[in-house]
Amino acid sequence: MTVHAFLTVAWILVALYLALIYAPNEASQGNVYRIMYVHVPMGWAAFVAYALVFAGSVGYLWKRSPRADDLAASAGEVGFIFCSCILISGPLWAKPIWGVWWVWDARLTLTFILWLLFVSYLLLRSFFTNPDRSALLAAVVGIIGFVDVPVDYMAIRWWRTQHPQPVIMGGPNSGLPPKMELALFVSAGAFLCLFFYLLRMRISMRESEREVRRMRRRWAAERVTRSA
Amino acid sequence: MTDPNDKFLFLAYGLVWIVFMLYAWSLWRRQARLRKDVEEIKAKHPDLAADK
Repeated sequence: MTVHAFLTVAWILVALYLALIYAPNEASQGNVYRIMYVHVPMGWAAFVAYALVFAGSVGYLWKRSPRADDLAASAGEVGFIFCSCILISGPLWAKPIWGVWWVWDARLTLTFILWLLFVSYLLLRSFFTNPDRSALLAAVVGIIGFVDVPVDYMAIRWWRTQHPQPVIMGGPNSGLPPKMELALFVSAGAFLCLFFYLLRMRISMRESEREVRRMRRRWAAERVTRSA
Repeated sequence: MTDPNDKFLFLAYGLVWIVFMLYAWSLWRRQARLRKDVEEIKAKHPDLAADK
């Protein structure tokens, strides 16, 4: 965990250097395009997060495994943070370039729906005191909500949107100059490293929470046995 | 850096990193509290901790 933390911090520092100093200015947008180096990687990380919510939910429904539920719940919480940051950085990039903070085009609307899915998923988990019931219902939402992810990813390929067309894997006319591409991939690596660090930390916390609950239950059971 | 749009760049980077730092800090705090709880229970009831 400590090695992962150091690796994450080092990778973030390199990514910041590449994004803010090494990568050249964009001809029409100037410096503000550099928001791309946080905005796009956080988008990819949020997709990965919801894919893990989906995988953990399927695992839980299939095997009733607490570890699968830990993965889904933790990815849901960390994914919510990443998705919230997309909704912060996106409008801050849109305003100087489009002249408006927000438009309801396909990509932005579907990303907002993804954020609402993360919120509903977390709220649902907090409503029920019975952990099995909460895990079961959350797993159903986690699976149904996954429909949004591929549609959101493909939205800028399927429809003409205000949001820019994809710069990576977007067809023959897409792509970035080499320096910008390097900065984007290093930033993506840094954000994914941060995502997995936070995810591992959250999963380890859930294991500790289960341990505390188990010990308290046993303690209570022993007290009942002794008093009887 | 004299572009008037630079403030949006600083704001985006600043806010995003503040959110991540606050979240990481909240996780470290919650984790430390949980570790303390586990240690306290183990110290009071070593028999509970031994049997999983």
